[in-house]
Amino acid sequence: MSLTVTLNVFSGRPNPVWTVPEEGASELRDRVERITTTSDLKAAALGSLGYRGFTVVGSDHGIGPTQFSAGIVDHGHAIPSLVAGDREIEKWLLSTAGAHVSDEVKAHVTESLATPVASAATMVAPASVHCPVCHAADAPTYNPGIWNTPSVQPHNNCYNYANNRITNTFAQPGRATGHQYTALTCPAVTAAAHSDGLVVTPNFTGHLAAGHGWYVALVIWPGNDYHWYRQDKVGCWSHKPGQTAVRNYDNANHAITDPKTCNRGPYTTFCTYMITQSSVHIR
Amino acid sequence: MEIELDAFSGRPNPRWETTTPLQKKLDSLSEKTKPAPEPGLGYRGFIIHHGDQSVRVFSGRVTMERDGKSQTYRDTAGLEAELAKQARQHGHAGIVPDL
Repeated sequence: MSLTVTLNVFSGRPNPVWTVPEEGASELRDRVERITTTSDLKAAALGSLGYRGFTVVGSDHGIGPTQFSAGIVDHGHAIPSLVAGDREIEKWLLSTAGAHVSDEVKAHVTESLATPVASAATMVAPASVHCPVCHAADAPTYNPGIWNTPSVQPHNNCYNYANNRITNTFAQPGRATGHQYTALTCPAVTAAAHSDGLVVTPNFTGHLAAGHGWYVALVIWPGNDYHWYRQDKVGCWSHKPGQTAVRNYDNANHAITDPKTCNRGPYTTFCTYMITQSSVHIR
Repeated sequence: MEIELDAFSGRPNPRWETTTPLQKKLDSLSEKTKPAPEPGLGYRGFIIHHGDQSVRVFSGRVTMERDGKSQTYRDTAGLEAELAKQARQHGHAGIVPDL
């Protein structure tokens, strides 16, 4: 797997983007895995002009967009940050730029990287995301690593992910019970999921004690397809679009505080919230 | 060759066989570029399955294995438009954008 690296530095021009090959991806993974300090805080804004950090995305989407700035590794709104304590990873990322970044810009970034690293005192709570409270004791933890592997990712869909169940069958609502949906409408897919054991609920604010499941949500691309989201323990929602990687952001790259209001691309019809649990049978 | 229209989340993606000779078009690609960002829900392009190989065609770019590594090229051969035309012929006009 290669990596696509973006240096966030320009305002008017497109930022420099380059690819780091497989060996580099391994090195970055090793460097990140060596960081043991975590924090729920995020790096403070470094100003809107000049060096703002790097964005790294894995070519097979096994790595979601990850931000590296001020000695902080930020995997996303709902995941604790890693606090490196130094700026070696950023220096290393800059070293992979080659001719994609001019000497002048490299000098600017190098100078920026000479400033002290972020400390807890210079980190801030994520300003734009306030995940709702998760009221389900059984809600799964956001765990993309389990799903975004070659042996799992292509064979499991949004329904697998929402139900937190790897079947490798691209599970379909109602197939396990012989009542698979026959139309791509809210009533039809809801009924099929109900036959699997999911239960309709008007919202995700009711307390669900241990053993009583967690919240999911069904949306429809009218006449074409359906899609599911799940609420994770952190309170925000995540999803798996078909064969692609699990993610905790919507089509506008925003954290998902409510699937009813997030950017869903062509899945324009919100059907319902439902409750699923580990005893639900899907295939 | 088998073509997969990569667009769905819950249902399996539509697939069809094609006899249109695409290999010549793939071989003609030479202008390297960066992979397109993957959009999430909705149309994500086409995957050409040919033996063990799979080639992704999306957003005017073609990503495939060449010389043992993944490379992305500009779609100067009009592959995406050709595959979109095939998709419409197979009844998927509402899924592919106008290209």
